[in-house]
Amino acid sequence: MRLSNSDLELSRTRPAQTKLDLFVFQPKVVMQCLVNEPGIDKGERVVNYDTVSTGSYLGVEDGMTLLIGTTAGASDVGRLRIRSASATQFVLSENDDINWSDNLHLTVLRYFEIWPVFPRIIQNPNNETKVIFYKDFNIPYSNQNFVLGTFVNAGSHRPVLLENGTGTVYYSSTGTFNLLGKSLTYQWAFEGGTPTGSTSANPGNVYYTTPGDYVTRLTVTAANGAVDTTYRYVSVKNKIGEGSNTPIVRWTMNQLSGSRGEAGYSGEFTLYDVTHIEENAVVMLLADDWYGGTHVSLGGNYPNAEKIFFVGYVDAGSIKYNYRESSVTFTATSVTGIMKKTTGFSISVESKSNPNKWFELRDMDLRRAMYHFLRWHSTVLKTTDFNWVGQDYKIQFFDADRTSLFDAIDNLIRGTLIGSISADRQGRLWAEVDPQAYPDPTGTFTPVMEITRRDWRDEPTIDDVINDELSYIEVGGIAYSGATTGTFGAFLSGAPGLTPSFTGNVEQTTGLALAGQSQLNQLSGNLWANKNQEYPNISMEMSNPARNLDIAPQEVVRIRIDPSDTVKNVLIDKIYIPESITWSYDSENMVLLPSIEYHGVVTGIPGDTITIPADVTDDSEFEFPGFNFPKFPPFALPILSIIDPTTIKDVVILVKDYGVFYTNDFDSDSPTWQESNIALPQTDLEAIEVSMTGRMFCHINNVVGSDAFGNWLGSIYSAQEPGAPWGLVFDATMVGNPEAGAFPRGYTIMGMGIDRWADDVLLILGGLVVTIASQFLIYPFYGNSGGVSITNSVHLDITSANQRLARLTLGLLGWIFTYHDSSDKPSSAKLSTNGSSMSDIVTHSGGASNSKVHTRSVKTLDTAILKKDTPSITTTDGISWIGVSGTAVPYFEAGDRFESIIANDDGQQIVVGISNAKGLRYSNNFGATWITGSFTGTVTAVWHFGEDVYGICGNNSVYSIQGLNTATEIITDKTGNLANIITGAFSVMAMRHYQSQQQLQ
Amino acid sequence: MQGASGTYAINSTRFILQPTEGEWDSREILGVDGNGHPIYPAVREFHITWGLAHPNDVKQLIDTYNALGNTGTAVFDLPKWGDADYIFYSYSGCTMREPEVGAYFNGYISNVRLTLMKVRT
Repeated sequence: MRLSNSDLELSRTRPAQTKLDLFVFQPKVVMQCLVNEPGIDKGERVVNYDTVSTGSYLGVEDGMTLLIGTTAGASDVGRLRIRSASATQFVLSENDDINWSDNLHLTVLRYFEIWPVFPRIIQNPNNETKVIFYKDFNIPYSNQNFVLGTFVNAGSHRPVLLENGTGTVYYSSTGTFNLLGKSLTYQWAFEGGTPTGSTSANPGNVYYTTPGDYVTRLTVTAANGAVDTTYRYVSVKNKIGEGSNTPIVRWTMNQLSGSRGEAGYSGEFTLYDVTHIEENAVVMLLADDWYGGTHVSLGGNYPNAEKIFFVGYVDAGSIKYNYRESSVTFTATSVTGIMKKTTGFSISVESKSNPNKWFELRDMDLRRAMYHFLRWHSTVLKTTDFNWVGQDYKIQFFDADRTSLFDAIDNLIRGTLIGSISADRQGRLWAEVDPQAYPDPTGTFTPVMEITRRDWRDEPTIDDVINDELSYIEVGGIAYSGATTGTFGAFLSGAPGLTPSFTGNVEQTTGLALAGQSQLNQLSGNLWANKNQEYPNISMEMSNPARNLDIAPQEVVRIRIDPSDTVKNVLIDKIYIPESITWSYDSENMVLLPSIEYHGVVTGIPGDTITIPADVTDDSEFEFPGFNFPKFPPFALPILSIIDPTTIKDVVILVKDYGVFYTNDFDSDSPTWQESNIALPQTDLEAIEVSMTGRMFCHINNVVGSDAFGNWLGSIYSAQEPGAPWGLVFDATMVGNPEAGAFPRGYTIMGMGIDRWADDVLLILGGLVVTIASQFLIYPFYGNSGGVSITNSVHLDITSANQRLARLTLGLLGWIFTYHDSSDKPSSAKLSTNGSSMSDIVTHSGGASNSKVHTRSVKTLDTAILKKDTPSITTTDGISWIGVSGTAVPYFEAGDRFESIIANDDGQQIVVGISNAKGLRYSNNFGATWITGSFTGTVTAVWHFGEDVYGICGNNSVYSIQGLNTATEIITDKTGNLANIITGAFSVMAMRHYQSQQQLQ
Repeated sequence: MQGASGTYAINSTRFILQPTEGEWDSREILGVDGNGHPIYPAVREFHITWGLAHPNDVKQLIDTYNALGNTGTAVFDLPKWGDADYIFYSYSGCTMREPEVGAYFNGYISNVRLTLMKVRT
């Protein structure tokens, strides 16, 4: 910490005196009860309870600790994290290690421990070749990796001594960081304090008057809805000699040592007259300092927390009781020590611009990767600040083995940026890029103090390196532009140059995240120079408490050692950082002085670029012997299986206001329908498309609100297959406003189309009103479930007024798009593969509004059909219109509305469903003449399964119809259990079929 | 603060028998800085001895020590450190070691020593 010049001088004032008080946080008991489940199984997550002897479930919060024991308050059977509680049940974290039995004692502590959180991966019950991911057993993916979240900082846990009856704690959210830079709202709750809460980012002083152990909660909500909560423990005590509720009275600490190598601090404590210490309990040291005659404390990395000397946790494996001495000895470590002993699950995440799965992360950089891991794979952030120092870079993948929580993120920053994770004395986490990885290590940092002979005791120890440790280092990595643009550059550099120096080892470092070649050259030069620097380490016992120094964040000091200071007669004047600090506490003399090992930092000369050969083949020295490949045996392309439309099993429907339902036995007499609505908003459902593999896209209107002009915006969600969770692919807020200016307006989604024969292809037409009632622009977005982007910077200007409805279909000739021209005439056009250009524009002269084009059941000829209360129009290729003149209509019935329309494989047979209980009308000649079908109910959706088999849906019903236009027409009710799983009347908006993987095998 | 008692006292209670001698102990040197200056702790110790003390007086000292227990501190009136005159000064926030005693001699206890600690001068 950088002190003011006056405070820096004060910190050197002698004699210095420090009195330490030791606090051990004692969590409150929230609830006590008994297991009420005779026959309970090992590993049970949902546990019934009764016989509540203390408290109530209403005080239980997500993340609290549950002790399970054979006696009240005991934890001899185990301890678990609570997910939720009800009047009769606890829902707990996964726990195969707990041997449950009836009447075990359960004790809920107001304590939020550091736990690993396991993901769960299950086989998709509807598709055994695929899996479904959950976090923490049953949290499905919705949009968590898109909205991301916030590193919430609230400082360390707090030890407090009452002074004249009042203890003061300063609260600030300093260092809080939202990964998307969203605006934040704050909600503090100060248990036991005055005031009891605050909505300020920095509430300032909170006052406590009653000794006790309290919990402060801070919930931060980002503007995009991401919510993060963190807790801090506050232990308020009387001063020793001034009351009965005091810190630990009789205790000793031999040393408190911290180093960047160990990533934090640890110290061994012995407590007397204490009969029990909880594993993982919070241990805090509060300092009372004098510098000469000035009573003040200095240092620390958090505002107004100078007195907090150390915050750590009891290492569960280190507790030893000495019953003869009536003492207990344990080691307290920084949070990193607990993280090292806590094993997490393996993780693999990929950067995506629009993630829609748990293993995709929005435009990933290291901070986002670490947040994802700490937030969803651990509870570290529930009790710990997290700070980032240094340049961050985009990365495409983050993979971690099944390793400790600490190693997972430390290895990431160590191997990617040359950095490390450490905890400071007050228990805050720091992820830092090493100074040597900065472009100019010695010029970047302003030293926090200059250390000269008055600052050390006795004589410093200086490491002197005569020969180079490193003769050559080769460093390489990737510069990745991020998921949006997705470009890569591979770079390699060698230092000191292409020729090594004469002594030392050779090292190779690869896999770094880089900015480019020049940055890498400087990095390789810095790494080589820092390995070979003269006087790399200096150790000294300090003459002053130096509490302004810590191992984290990395603080640069300038050390000046004059020739007369040492027998070696050398001059050293360079930059160092504290590498390790050991504090020795002499309680009898009230002396707390450190010995510090400093590690030097130098700036190197840039290394040389190593050109990565495009072709590694070098035939100048070696020639492969000639050989011939044997001829491949002749083979034939497999014949694609044609689905028998009468045996279609897998069908998806979109039900108005109820969402998506599917069945895998549509061919049975009574299909079993299931919901597929996990994480899918179920209001304003507009359309659904399903690929033949079952990938689904759903268009939802208005879920992201509207812009200032009332334009509907809308969203696209996607699910990997029926039954899988939905994830957000697109909404208008993601794309900004390309016409930003005087009249910024949002997009409306005009139409959505997919390639049903590709697994994952999506084309969206986003409409934008530019000039009200005069100009309407269309922007194509092309991509897949991982995200879409505008395909070019040129919009399609169809200059149609107020017309928002368009339809897309994909035929052999490409995308067909129907819309209205500026005269409100139904029109059609072709779009290029990614929608970036429009051609073959045809306008129907007949005049109609509200056009629609069917979506084809198979990819054959195109047939475009436009309709609304006026003649329908059909063409054979989507651009050449026929039968469109005057009253020579294919089909028209005044006053009725076509609810849906579909054509068969060659476009010759067209089927329309009509409202007003008039059933089906169909044409067998491209719409030249029309026939009334035998089905007479209201039809809200039609679909073509193949040949002469169709699906038709109405209000509260689903049917298949075979043999349309034949004497053997068969209509079969396929409603099955739909009426049982949907409460009340319902209306089916769309129907699609697909082939589940079981059927494909 | 000027010692109110003007003589040796613990929490304003004077000793019935004045000590044979009282002495500021030398502070332990924690080290020498690079300029050659010694570094001392901030607190000192003072010891008081009685060549012979009545067991009842010694008991009072032991009672005082026990009363401080593990948590208490006391105010000692001691000759003021570093002052030009022999005056007494009240030092607060101090602790003491358990009284050390020598052999019994004719119903008295010889070589009674009381060490006062954590005296901020």
